[in-house]
Amino acid sequence: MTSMHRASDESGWSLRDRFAIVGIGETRYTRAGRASRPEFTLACEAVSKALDDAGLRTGDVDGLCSYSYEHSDPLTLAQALGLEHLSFAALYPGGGNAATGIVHHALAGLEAGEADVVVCYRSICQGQFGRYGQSLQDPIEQAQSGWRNFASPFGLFTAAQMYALAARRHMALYGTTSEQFGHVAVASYDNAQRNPRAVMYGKPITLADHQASRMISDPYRLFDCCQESDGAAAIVVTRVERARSCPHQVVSIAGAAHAMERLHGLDNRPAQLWAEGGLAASAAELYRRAGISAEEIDVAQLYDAFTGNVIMHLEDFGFCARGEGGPFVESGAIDWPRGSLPVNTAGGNLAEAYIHGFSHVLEAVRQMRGTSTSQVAGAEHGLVVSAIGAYSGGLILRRLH
Amino acid sequence: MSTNSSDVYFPEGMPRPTLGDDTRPFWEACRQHRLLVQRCAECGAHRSPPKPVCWRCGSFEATWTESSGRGRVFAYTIVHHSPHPVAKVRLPYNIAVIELEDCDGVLLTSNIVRCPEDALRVDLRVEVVWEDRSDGQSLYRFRPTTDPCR
Repeated sequence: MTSMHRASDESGWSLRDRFAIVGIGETRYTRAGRASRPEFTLACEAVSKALDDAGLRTGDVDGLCSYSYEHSDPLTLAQALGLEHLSFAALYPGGGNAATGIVHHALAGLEAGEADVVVCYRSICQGQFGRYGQSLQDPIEQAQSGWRNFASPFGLFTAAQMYALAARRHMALYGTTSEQFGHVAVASYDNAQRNPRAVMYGKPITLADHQASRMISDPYRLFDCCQESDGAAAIVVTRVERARSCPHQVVSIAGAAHAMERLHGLDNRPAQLWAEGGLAASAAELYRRAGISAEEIDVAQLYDAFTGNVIMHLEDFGFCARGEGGPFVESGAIDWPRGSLPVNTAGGNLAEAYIHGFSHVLEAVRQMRGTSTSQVAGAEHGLVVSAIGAYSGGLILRRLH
Repeated sequence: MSTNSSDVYFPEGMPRPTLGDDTRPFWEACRQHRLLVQRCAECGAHRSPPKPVCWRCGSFEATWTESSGRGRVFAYTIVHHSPHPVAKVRLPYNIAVIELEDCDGVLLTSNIVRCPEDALRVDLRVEVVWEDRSDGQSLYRFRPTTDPCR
């Protein structure tokens, strides 16, 4: 928390509402392996579309940022797109934590004056460069933490298996049920039926379908696990003053906070973190920075690689008490349109597409513009969370008047 | 704690650990059926898996504590889908995280043997058993300390 407080002032946050997301762009989303073009082409297309949406040209862009396992690195992309002057670039660490993290990082470049227009993007075609969970012996991982050496001889390979262990812990501590996990999946698939961009558009599921789906890693069934997708998405971030001359409703970044506490991570993490998203400190700081509380969040996009994560994030961000996430989703609280907090209104990783959490940022912008296919009426504040239990957090977006 | 043929959990061909500077003493002790946990030589904090530096005090000096190998199931999953060609043959199998009763309660990933899958539960008390693999590397699995079906 110390470093966070250094970046803040007592009354709030010096960056509050000073930067805005002025453009969003994405390719067609397909099932993994179905993209007809190279991943790099998709990255170029998403960035180009986001600039079109913002009413800007490539010559306006001086920052390019992506994250974790991105193959289309910012320098190669800058050359292909013909950027005139790139002065800020980054590849942010981690995995699903980084979708909001990289937007937060872009603010540092903007605030420092290193860039005036930053594009954040993520392209992912798992069919073209191997699938996550299938790289069974990563030499760098083995040399550094050696974590896989203590997992793969025992049959632990995939994210589904790792997160199933955490879900089991939540069930044991709080009585959470498979049906409650299923409710998260059904709510996401319902939203995808209104979203023609969603890979699962036209493929609704019921709770019975969830319960009948094949077991992947008990307690997780097929519909508890997100898809693997091909696609790319991008956003454009700039100063609010400049945003006012862009075509769309100004969507400001009211708050951003990400943190990694001691020993967060996959191995050696403290016992209490297994049934949490590890987000409580980031959540408190995020609300403080935005100057609002959980009650003022109208809609949330939560990182849903697996259904149980959504339940844990709801608890971490104070929408319900610790351990109450299961009954909360079962009550219909996250359902559109009647729930108190509609979640993953485009379908999320589960049912829209798995763009490593980045499509969640675009959907949060749509909600603030009033253009979501599952629009929350009068939405003023949208939360986006990306989390993997380390260096995780989120953004609060605001419909700026 | 002897090896029993029923404790052979996976067929031949599973990934085997790569021994590095930090981990070699751990895996070599396994071959003698001894479960070691790395311990900071300065402040005494245990850590697992082994790392080059102490998370608590920053010391690069480390020693080892031999664990009793007793603990409890902290979390488990029963795997019905695996990307690994050898693990696939063994489906469904379990993965369990064990909290040791000593060594500051560090967590170890392993498998539970001699226990029907429907008897697995969080907090089940377990103890280490050793599986001697044909590649010469012994691996730790855990079994219930009492009959879990009673």
